[in-house]
Amino acid sequence: MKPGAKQSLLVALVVILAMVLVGTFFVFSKKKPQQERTLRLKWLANVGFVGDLYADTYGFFTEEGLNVKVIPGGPEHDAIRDLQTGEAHFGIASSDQVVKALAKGADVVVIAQIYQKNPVQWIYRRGQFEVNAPEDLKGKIVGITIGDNDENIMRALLKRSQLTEADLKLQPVQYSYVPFTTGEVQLFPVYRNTQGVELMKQLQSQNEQVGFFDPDRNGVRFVANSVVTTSKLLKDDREGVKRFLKALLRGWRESLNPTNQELATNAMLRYTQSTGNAGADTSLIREQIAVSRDLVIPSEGEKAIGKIDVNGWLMTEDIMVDQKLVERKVGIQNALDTKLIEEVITNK
Amino acid sequence: MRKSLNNSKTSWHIFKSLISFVGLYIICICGLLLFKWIKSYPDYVIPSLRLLISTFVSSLEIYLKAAITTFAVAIAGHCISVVLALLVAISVFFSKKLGNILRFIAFTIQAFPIIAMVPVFFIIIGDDLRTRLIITSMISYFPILLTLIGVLSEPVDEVEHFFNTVKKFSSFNLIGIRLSENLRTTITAIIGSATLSVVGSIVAEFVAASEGIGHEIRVALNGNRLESILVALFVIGIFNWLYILILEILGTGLYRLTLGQSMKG
Repeated sequence: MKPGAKQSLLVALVVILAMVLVGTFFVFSKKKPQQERTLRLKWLANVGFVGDLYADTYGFFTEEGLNVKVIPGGPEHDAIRDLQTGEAHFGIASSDQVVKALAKGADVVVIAQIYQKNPVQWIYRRGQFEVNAPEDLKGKIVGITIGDNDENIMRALLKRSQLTEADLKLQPVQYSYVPFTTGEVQLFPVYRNTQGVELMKQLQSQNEQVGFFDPDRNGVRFVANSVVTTSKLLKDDREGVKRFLKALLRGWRESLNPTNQELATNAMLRYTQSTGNAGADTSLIREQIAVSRDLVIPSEGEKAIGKIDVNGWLMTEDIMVDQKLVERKVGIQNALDTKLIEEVITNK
Repeated sequence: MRKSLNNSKTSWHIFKSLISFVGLYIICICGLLLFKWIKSYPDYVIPSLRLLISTFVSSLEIYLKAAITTFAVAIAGHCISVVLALLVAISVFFSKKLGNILRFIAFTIQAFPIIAMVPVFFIIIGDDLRTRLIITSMISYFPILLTLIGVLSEPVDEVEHFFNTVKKFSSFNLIGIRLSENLRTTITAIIGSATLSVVGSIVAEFVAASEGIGHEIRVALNGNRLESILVALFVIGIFNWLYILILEILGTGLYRLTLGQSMKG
């Protein structure tokens, strides 16, 4: 080999190596390292989690540099248990689950409260009677899911209204609508924005009008679904938690915005169809989303979605102590991270 | 002398099986507590021993009452399944045509997972005792049916030949002979399906009933109370052990009785 050719080969090699190095630098510097995170929903994917699913569908988590896996819950799953075992980093849990978990020494912190009003209400057929106040429940057969939060809410309502179980009949029910459709129970507990709309539409198609009895309007503030994580994760990666919350709440704001109705419906269809509910009805989903707005958006407006109602939590804790669901107060206020949500809402 | 020796043998057998069951339960609980300790899980995930004991004390009575309801349904359902299986097996034995149809229906029903059909029963019939009995008997009848069909189609040559020669023979005699000659197999199948009937009863309560131990487990699951579930499992285990033990004693007694009668004959 000529000495000139040897030199040229060396230069070419150096140039190639430099190009590879520069290329690698650009590739890796452009792409933010993505954090793997898991969010466990409280229940199966339905409109009750529209904001969470919207954020996942339209890549809001990815934009925040997070790779979030959203996994549905169900009767055998518990988001807080998953947090303790390390199966999930974030979860959607109801307030009674949070209080019970704290009473049993779990590491759980509430970082946002999605529902400002509890969606648990009781559906009934209009015509024979109207239920506007707790006194109207007298003599009625009222369904309750033993061990679930509708039982706690109903018992709290009865106590608050100075009614006793002798004034009405509390009939245990489960997830099937059959006891209501057959008339075995007159008032049936539903999540107003999901089962409530579904049942209402079913009965309306048979020319039956329905009404809803809302304990929240009658003074029982029992907090519903909230976003939870562990104090350990908050301590180790507060910025990451903040980015997660930012993406999640953006999902809720945008999904409930009427101008994004089509996008929100499509996000829901994607999930419901993937869970085998191929016949999911778009008009039903739209109606469910519309009802959810009233339950999620606070009086301050959609910017404040996720704000934590400390008084509501304190009342929830009182109800649970009173019903002996926990032995003593758990100091719920210490498990509410109101600062983080303030920072996210005010974009600090 | 021999009788009292037999009695003490039976008592020792009962005591041994009870100790084995309780011992196994305690070993499992210890394993769970060890796992809790290794993983540093709070009581919310796995209950502490203190919580488990206090739950045991406070809710044992509730679970005992619930278990009585569950086992009443399980036993009734089990009896129905035995009668049902016997009727189908005898029909198969008597009439080939009808038997084939019944056998086809019985086998086809079994092809559907009963557990998946439970909600359908509750919708059609409602969440009352009838549904629970149907589910319980449907889950437990198949092993008995298979055994009975096998037993009735298997000739007992020596005995049947004897009866044939003395001309004291009818189809009912034949059924009686084949059943008594294969009593051990039949009893084993009935005892084996007893656990299935308990499973059926619990599943039915878990899905839609408002009483029984299956319902109590569902309620405990709603509140994520593993300690209550563990107590309920202990109660189910004790009742199941007792039920199988009674069936075994009855089966052995029946076997001895039949053996004694055939010896006399």
